[in-house]
This record gives sequence, C-alpha cells and structure tokens, in this order.
Amino acid sequence: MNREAIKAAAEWHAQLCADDAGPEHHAAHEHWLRAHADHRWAWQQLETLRGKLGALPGPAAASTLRRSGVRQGRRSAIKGLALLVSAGGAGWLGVREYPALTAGHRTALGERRSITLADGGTLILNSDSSVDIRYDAQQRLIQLHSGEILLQSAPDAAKRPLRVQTRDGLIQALGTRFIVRQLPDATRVAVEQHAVLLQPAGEPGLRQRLEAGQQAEFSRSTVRPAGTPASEPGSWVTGMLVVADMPLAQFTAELGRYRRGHLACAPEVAQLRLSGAFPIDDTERALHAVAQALPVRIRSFTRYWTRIEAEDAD
Amino acid sequence: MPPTLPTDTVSGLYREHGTWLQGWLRRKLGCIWEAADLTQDTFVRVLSSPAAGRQLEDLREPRHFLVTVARRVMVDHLRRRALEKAWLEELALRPEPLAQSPETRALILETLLEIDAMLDGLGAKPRQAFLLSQLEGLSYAEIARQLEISVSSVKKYMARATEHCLLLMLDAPR
Repeated sequence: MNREAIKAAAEWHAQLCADDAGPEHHAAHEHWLRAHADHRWAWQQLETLRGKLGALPGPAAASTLRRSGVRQGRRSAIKGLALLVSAGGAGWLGVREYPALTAGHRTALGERRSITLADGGTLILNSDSSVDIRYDAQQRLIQLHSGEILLQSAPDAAKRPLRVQTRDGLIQALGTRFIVRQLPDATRVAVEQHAVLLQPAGEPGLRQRLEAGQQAEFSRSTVRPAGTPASEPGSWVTGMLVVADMPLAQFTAELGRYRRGHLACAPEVAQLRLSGAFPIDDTERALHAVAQALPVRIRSFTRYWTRIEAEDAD
Repeated sequence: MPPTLPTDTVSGLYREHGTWLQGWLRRKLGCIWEAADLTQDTFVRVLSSPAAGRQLEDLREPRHFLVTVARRVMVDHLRRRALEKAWLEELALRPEPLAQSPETRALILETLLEIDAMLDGLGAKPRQAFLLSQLEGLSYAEIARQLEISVSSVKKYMARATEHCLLLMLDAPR
C-alpha cells in the first residue's frame, strides 16, 4: 500500500469538496491522476469509500452516526446535541397536518409529506403530487390528481369504505396499506398489506382483487399485472429509490421525479442495468453513486441541465 | 502428521471454561441468552484468528485470555446494538409508516456499522466535519459556522478524516 498516495488522495478529496473548487483544481487533479499508477489506485480507493457513503440515506444516516459518535466520545456530547437539534428542522419534509373533512394537498418537486387522516389513517404524498381528501357520510374518498401516494388505512367507526379515485377508476381498500401512482396512461397500484379491489371506471362489472406483494396497472378498461417491479414500490417513503436490474433510462426518469430541471441519459448508455439504493432527497448524491456503479459520467452545464453519458464520451 | 490443530485446543478450552465464560458474560450483560450467544461468538473468534491460535499453544492463563477476547466481542456487540437502536430511533422520527424491506434495512445497517467503525478514533470535529460534508452536503462555510472553526480547518479536518477512513478501509479484512 502506498500511504503517500492515500494521503494525497485524501487531500485532493478535501480540495475538490471545498466551496471554491473550480475547473483549475479539477484540471490539476487530472494531472495528478495521470502522473502515477499509485495515484489512480489511491483515487479508486477513495471512489469506493464515496460509493459506500453514497449508498446511505444522507441526513438520517448522518444523524445516526453523529449520535453514535456522541455516545463514544463524551468530550463532544454537548456540541453533538446542539447539532442534532439544528439538524432536526432541515432534514425531513414530514410536516404533519390535520386536515378538515375536505382538503386539498399538493407537494412540490422533491417534497414529501405525511398527513394524518381524520380516521387516524396515514396518507403520504410523494414528490410533485396532488390529492383531495373527501370524507362524507357514505365514504372516505381520496382523489389522486397527479403523482403518487401511500395510504395506510385505519378502521372506521362508521364502517364507511375507503377509496382512492384516479383518472382510471377506483381502488377500494380492504384493511390495508398500499401505494397508488398516476401514470400518464394508467394507474399503478402496489399492495404492501392485505388487499385492495380495483375497479376500472369504464367497465363497471370488472373488479380485480390485488393481494399483498402484488402490483398491477389498470386503465379505464383493463387491468394487467405489472410483473416483478424493477423498483421497490414503497421505498420512496424512506427517502430511497431502491432498484434491481433497472435500465438506466428508466432509472433516469424515476430520479427525475425528485429533481428540478432537465435530467436525461444518452442513448448509448440507456440500456445499462442498475441495482442499489439511491437517496432521492439528494439527487446529486444519487447521480454520483450511479457514476460509481456504471461506466458513465454525469455532465452538467448548469444546475438544471444534467445528462448521463458514456464515461469515454467527449 | 500436521501439527496439532488449534481446533482440538479450542474444544478443550470450551469444555473446561465454556460454562465459566458464559457465567462471566451473564454477569456483565445481565441476560442469559445474550451471554450464551456471545460465548459462542468468543470461541468462533478464537478459532478464526490465527494469532489467537498461535497463542493457544502455550496458554498459562486460559481464562484471562478468554476474557480478553470476550471483552472485544462484547464491545463490538454493544456498539452494533447501540448503532442499530440509534438508526431505528432515527427512522421512528420519520413520517409513518416506515416499511423498508428487511434487505434494505440490513444493507444500510451494515454500511452504517462499517462507516461508524472507520470514523472511530477520529476526533469529534473531524468526524462532524466529514459527516456534515459527505452525508448532509453542507458547504465548508456552513460547516465552519456550525462547528465554530475556520474554513481552512474544515478542509484540514476533511483531509484527515478521509485519510483515516481510507487507511481503515484498506486495513479491514475482505
């Protein structure tokens, strides 16, 4: 092991993470890399370390590790606690609200919000989603206008049915926890617990029961099973996009749901397959992790224009 | 014939001192099941460590030796449990309901343990600076403000923490 090279790699890392890191630093770093195989080896170790860090859900993991550090080193306890308090407000977007009987809710891009329903159930809105909650004497209705929700139902004293309505039809909860996503041309439903009943709007006679662990898409007239999902349907609730063997093009579209501006991938890398857990609250970190996992590089012209390209492209 | 396998020595050690060690661990931990588990872990560690195997050849104070290994096993165990607890508490602060798949949760916990072990032995400020920069994405200026240090110190701490992690990562088995 070349300790000098490791030390230098660590110093480069500290320089390139700094606020004032500019093109001249990157150029100098490139020069350093080219100078010796040991430098490239050391930098590869650094990339491995960054990969491990990139796989963690940032703020939550940082808070956990800071607390474990507090426990280990009493000397830092007071400052550590102060930091915990200051981190509490910034990290998560879970603003709790107690809606009136009819209420509209909307989340911005990159936002996620948890709402406690009047019956004690929980509704979580994913990024860029909008719903109306309409509870009346006959039913508990949630209208999903756009985006994606997770609904954890609670038993109702008045035994009113709990339903989610989308452009394509109704989903009736059967004592359950499930995820509904409005796609451009269909509604995707994934059941985590118990079961739901799907009712396409154009076929009043058609009812399809969906059990825990199953996923389906339905339009106004048909229901089709969605097969094995390439991403874990509810992982966004924990701030992660968890994918298995997903084509990069699809991954790019999924990550784009949490990010402002243009995000695309070049055709030559669109079919590369990706697996792993990526933080959606920090899409820059997620993209960095992609560049570690695949032979690609992330090219940004401005903050709002990003493209994933083949590593050796010019 | 190959030289005597440490396995024989270890099984002898286990027969003679296993029950005693379990009693010692039970007094330390206050839980009979945990003590039984960690007794097994201690002997597994003795078996899987070549250095320990060599020491076994002429062991004058077997109980002293076992307690030394058991103490290390116990520290690792408690650290793991503390970190797991901190992580679950952290998740509990998030909006309910939280259903990470067990696989995701286990993977994240393993990585947390690995990073935690790497950061161990690093001073409080380099540790904080590194976490704030790498996991929270704060700028050096913001980190300097929070930790009440200069920006050039942040950079110095970042370099030190990165080097520390890299050296431990390279040192770790696997």
